[in-house]
Amino acid sequence: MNENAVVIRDLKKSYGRRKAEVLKGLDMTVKKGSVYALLGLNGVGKTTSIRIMTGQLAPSSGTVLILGLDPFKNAVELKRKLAYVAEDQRLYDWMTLKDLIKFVRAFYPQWDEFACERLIKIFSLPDNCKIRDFSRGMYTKAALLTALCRKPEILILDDPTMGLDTAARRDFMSGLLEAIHEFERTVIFSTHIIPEIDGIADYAGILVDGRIVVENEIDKLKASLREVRMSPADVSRLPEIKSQLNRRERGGEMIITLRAGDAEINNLMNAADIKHFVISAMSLEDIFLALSKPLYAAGQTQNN
Amino acid sequence: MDALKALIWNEWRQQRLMVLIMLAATLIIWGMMLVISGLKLFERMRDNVGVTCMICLFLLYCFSCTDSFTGEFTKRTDKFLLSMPVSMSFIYLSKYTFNFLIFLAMTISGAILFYPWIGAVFDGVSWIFLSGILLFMLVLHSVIFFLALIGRNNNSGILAILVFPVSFLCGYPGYLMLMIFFFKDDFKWAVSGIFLTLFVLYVLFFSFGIYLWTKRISRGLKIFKPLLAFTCFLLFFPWLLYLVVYTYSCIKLNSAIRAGELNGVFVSAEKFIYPPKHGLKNTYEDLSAFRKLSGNFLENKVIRSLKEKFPLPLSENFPWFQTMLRNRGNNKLLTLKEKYFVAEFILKNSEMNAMNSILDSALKKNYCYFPVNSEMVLWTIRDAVIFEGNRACAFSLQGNYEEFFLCLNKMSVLRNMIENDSLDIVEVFMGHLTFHKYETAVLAGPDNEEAVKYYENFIREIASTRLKFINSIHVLLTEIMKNPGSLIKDELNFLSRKAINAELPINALIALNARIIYIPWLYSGGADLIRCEIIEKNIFEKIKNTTIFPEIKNEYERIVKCYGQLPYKCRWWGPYSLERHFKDRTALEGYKLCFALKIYYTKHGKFPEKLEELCSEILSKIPLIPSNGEPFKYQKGYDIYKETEKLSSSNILGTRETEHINEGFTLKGGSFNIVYCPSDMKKESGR
Repeated sequence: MNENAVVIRDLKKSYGRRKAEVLKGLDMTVKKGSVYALLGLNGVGKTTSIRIMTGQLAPSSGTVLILGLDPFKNAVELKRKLAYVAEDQRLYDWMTLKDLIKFVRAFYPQWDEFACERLIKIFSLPDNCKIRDFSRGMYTKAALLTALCRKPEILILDDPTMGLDTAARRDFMSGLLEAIHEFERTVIFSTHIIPEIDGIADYAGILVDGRIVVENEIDKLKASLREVRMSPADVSRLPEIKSQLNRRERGGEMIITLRAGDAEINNLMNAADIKHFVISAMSLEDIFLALSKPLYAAGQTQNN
Repeated sequence: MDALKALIWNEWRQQRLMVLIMLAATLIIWGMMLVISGLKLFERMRDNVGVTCMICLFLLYCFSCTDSFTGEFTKRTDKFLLSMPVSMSFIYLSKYTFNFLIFLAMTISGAILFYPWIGAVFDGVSWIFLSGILLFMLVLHSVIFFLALIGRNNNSGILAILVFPVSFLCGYPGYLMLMIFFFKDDFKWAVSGIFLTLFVLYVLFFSFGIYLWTKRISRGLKIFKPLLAFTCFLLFFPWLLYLVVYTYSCIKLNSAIRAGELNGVFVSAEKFIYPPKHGLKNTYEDLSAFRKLSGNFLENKVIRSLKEKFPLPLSENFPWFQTMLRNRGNNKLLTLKEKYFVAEFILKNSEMNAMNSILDSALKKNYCYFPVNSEMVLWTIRDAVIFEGNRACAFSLQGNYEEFFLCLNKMSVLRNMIENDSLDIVEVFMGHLTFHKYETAVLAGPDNEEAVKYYENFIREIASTRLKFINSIHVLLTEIMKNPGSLIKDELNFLSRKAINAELPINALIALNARIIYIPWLYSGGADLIRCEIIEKNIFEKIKNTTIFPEIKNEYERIVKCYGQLPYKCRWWGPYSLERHFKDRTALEGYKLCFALKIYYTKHGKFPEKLEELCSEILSKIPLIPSNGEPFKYQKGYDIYKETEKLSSSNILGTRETEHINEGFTLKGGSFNIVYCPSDMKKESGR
């Protein structure tokens, strides 16, 4: 049995007459039952890749299989198993929540009435109020509600919290968290706001310039990267380090991001005869920034 | 099924307001029409309002349909809708079906509501009209859907409004084609062609729409924009060409007129049914006034003097006639003497050969003969040959683009004729298609008192208008004669006087020595007026019981049987061609008889008791009606109000108006029917 919900290989997508390439060979694997965070700065191709996954766009080349189905060719079949909440998604705002549920339910025989009622309570949504009168947060929750109650095998959320204030975002995320734990299904969550998925996501893929540069379980990802702080004078003694991802100066200290374990870094420092240095673990946001921002050296990219 | 219901419900919820507004508007306008009708207000506008409501009101809804798609894009609900587990084509079809059903329901209900107001015009074959309009509007519906998908925003609604005239122009010739055949019996030929075209267009745009939607060809669509522009151009092209042809012909005619290349220009008003078998006193008074303006060569005084100077027979030499025509100067009409020669010559050689040679010559060399308007040719022949003896050209530029090839052809022929100096009279007739409705004559027939009553009013109106028209002609002529270069201005002045409902006063023009008259478009609504009035009173059924109706019906059935004998080229025009053919031939023979009778009159000072009397001295044999081989019905003298005698007992018209004139003659045969007065008041009816 296939354990992967999403398998994407060498996915390329170009737009426009000049064929500007947005995705440049994206590889991505999402395991079934996992919560996958697709991270990337604005404009790196998150939405494009999600639109391809949901069958809204045809890829220029490459393979995309969602639950074993081609999203473009088997669009209808896939849509029965997939729910999607787009960034800045608009609903029929002349409907009440009740109307909206009635409308969506007609397309899904497997519609989960029980979950629906529960989620209305969890999200505290008024069911007789026109959607156009909803606040931004309520609007997003309503979209999530209609997505979750379809009992999808895979739920794709494309930056759903965009434009929400902190309170609304936290509210939404707690609701999502509860829902995810309750329903145990594959979730792909695209965002550039890292803290909101830290602790929710199992896996993370960091998308930089049309490619996934790092993809792993978040714990392993955190374990595999380290920050080393030292004095700028010592840095010149360091040889060229292949595992170096980033280097920046802060508060008179030089901070170097390395793809290496503690022992490996200790060996490296000893070899360079550097006595004063501090190794620290990285948060997911630090990792994201380290990978997404340009490297110190001119001509080098963070992909090196 | 649930999904379909949900989608349709969604559409209904989104569009119900528009539907209700449209329904309310329809009912309000319908109510207004009721009031207009009840109070007899704006009688002559009802047709226009009715047609406008039938078409435009529901097209407005059609435009609102664009929101069905564009709304999804502009409100950005498209992503949400597309996340539903149904195919793109399913969504398209559900949206289309909903809009289609509402559109259909509204169009049909509108047609039912507004049809009674236009029924007076389009009576008889209503289903053709309704289904034609329906199909035409369906095409527009699919076009607008298609455009909505191209635009993907509300601008496409604006685009649709811009494209609407193009679509309408595209469909309008088809609609007119339909109209040409409406009162004829072979309209099915045209209808099938038009319906097929509309259906193909419908399928084409529907397919395009669904293709765009399902293939997700989205916002760019740059290729479609030039394509659309090109399509618009293609649709417009015939009209542009027509415009060029029209302009060119106007320029050419004007230059010919200014250069004095033409001896006369035939001024034509639209078909006008002259008082048929009965008439009214004021009509004759009017005619008397009219007659004073005319210079008929059979004017008694003139005839007497000619008779003294040129006793018959004048000549039997046919080449002499041709030579005379060939050598005649450019800048003058035939003199009375020459006309008399011609008339005498024709009648002396009054065998079919002589007449045919004139006709053939006219058709092959000097006439533009177009099947679409053969009556006009006949008309021109009649006036030219009988009254003037001139060659003539019936030049018809009529305002529909399906005729533009004909226009081109006509233009080249006309140009050649002008260049070869082969024109004496040019009939310029530029206007909308005319529909010669023989029903008008039937409706106005003598057997129905209400018809007569309405006809009386009609004639009164026409009589007064005609006098106005004649006055206008006087003014126009004076102006033109003063300054021949200011034609266009004069045309406009003339048209601004709205001299409508007028009959052709060619004799008046000739009497005034008019060399140049160019009036491109005179429109008469007279025939339509009487039609409206009569149908409104529900007289049509009664008319069917008159004696005239079965006669016409039988004649028609006979013609239909003869249809198979038509040459292949004529078949497209169906029985109508045959009917015209027989009418032309009958008229030819009839006019020949008229000539003979007039010649007889000039010799004996009276008309013969029987046609056979002509045989001995003027005709070698009496012409028969070509279509059935029967003789023409001849009666010496004519009865004014003969047919109204029955009515006089009911004091509708009064007995004093019944009168028999023992002078002149009445000649009837098939569709040919002429009443001749020696004082040159001529009445004619039937076609």
